[in-house]
Amino acid sequence: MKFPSSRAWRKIAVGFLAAGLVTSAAACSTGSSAAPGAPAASQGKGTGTTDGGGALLKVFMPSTSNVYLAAASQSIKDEAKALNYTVNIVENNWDQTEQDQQVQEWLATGERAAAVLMWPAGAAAATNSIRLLSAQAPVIQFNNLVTPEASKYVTAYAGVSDTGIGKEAGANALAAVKKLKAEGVKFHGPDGKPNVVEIRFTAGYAAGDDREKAFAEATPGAFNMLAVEPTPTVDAQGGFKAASQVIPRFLGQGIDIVYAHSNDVANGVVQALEQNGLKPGKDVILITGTSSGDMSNLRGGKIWSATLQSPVIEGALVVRTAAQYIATGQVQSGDVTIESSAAKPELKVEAPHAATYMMNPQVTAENNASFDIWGLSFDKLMGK
Amino acid sequence: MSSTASIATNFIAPSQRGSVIRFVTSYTLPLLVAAVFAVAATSTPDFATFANIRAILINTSIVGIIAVAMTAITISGNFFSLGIASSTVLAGIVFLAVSGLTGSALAGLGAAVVLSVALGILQGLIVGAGLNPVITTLAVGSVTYGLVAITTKGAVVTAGSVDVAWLATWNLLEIPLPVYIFVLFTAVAWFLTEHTLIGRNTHLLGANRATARNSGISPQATTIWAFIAFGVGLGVAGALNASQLHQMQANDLAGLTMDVIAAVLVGGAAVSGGEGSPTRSALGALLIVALGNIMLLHGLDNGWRVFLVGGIVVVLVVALHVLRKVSTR
Repeated sequence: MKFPSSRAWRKIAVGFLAAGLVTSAAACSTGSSAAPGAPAASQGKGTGTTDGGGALLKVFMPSTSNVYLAAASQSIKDEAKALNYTVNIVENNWDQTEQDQQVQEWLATGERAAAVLMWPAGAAAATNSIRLLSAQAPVIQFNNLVTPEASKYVTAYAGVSDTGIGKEAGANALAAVKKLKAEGVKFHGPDGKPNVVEIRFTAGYAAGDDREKAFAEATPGAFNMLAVEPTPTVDAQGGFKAASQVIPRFLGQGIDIVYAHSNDVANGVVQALEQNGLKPGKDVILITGTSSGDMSNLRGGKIWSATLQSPVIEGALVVRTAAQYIATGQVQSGDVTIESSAAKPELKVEAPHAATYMMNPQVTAENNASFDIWGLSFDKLMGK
Repeated sequence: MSSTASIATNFIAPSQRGSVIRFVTSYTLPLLVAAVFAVAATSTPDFATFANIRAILINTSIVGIIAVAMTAITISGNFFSLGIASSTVLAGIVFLAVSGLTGSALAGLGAAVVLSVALGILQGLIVGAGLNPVITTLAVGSVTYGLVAITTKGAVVTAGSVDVAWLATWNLLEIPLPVYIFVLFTAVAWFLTEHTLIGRNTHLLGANRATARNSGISPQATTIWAFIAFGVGLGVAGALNASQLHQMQANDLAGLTMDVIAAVLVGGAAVSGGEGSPTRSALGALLIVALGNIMLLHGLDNGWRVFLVGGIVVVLVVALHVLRKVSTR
């Protein structure tokens, strides 16, 4: 076997490595061209209109290699265009250090933005970047809840409520139990309570903490909680890995309900249940959080319910919140959860709340085909 | 062939003391795994149930297949591949896409293996030319991830209505197919590594590159063979993983690379090359999963489990390293 000289291969390899860097950069950076920004609305002095007049909204967020973020990113662009704002998005590869560098580089350019829309890569470590950004423009944070340390630098929050999702999942679980009891189903726990296994998001992940706590608070004393098992990763593989180990442990006691923090994670749980001889949807009820990942198990009845978390709504919401703040220069105290409505609400010139949360309606095999929120079907809401 | 075999024999000929230690090095892990299973069976409730042992085997199979496949790379002195996760995701996505297009999971499996082998050959050519394997595999991983992310736009890929699940769920005696594939793959890898010329060449190349070259062994050809074996493992594991969950997306399998490296290290492979065994890598993967399982059954929190399993891995790797050093003095 003959090979070309090492020098030639080195050249090929160097070219290959360079291609790698270019490809990675392409995967982690999108956005429209920057436009001159308008002066930021100062506290109490709004522009009086939600029309952006071409002003810049600067967005910092993790990579759109995830379908949720890709849909949220597109929704931000669409909503900004509708409100006559220019948007420029800077992505990072789920790395707070990288995002910190991007923030500092942007600040050094001296470019002005009407507002900064910030999805921190790691909210707990993003306080300094948020502080620096807040000196330049109002910061509207989304997706990751505002930490107490960052709260004085964040003008408003708009987006997902993990507490809301946990609460809705709890309500869905109670409704499922009520329905099954009415059908005569007996549960395995003490005093006829359902035995529950919770497959939660990765340990230490704040979204998982909020969902676990909210689910428990929404179902006080209703269930016999056998175990709360964190996934190593927040995807179907992680769900399978966690569930396939924990389910055999409780087979003898009988598992009635599995609460998984997302539909994606639950897809892995379905496989683990089936490999242990259980029929999801019949022997075990699967209640899930975020309506992410492949929905065929939900549509096929193996997953009882999910909870809507629409990237399209989240993207639009953060832009609308920024536009309202820029228009009024004010923030209302307290928080609000927007209602599910068939028509997209008209954007009024009024101060946004300190926190505006998305709606979290139940998604089931029966209702997902007839979803109509803001004129969008379920698939459209999920950016598909 | 006979001259190579002779060099190999001379090269690894141990002293009396060395042979004792080498025996201990070779059999420490199998004995440890046996001891862990025996102790757990008597002291851990629900450990020795069929469902639990099956869960351990299922959880070991995919990481185990890749660990076994990567052992040749490590033995050949090319450290590890750091692009495991993205390459496995790519294989899974190709499996689902081709299965969906052709209606055949076997066609999807074939396509995943062919693509992974091609990727392996490409890396083998680059590493064989003398480039740093860590940088090369990291770059390939980065390119692969980027391409998958761009192509799929982060969306979940499925095989549509085509049934691909049977590849992961078909079972014999209630043990699913991935476990049998893992065992078969390990047996074939063991035979190739321990009983063929290419296996001996791989060992010699990792033990002493200059001597191997002087003995007429081509570092490039040997490295390419090691990466081909790795590619086969990645293709099979990617397809099995995707068939298990009927879906795959760009960001999946984030922790896979570290799991595989840990299994190979616990299996006693020398990072510098020349030492290692596919069967021990398989046992390494099995031991890590079993330890996590035992701690889970004892009700330890996830944090403690990660901490203790990590600690045990460190102790084992250090102990094997010390034994190896002593045996070569």
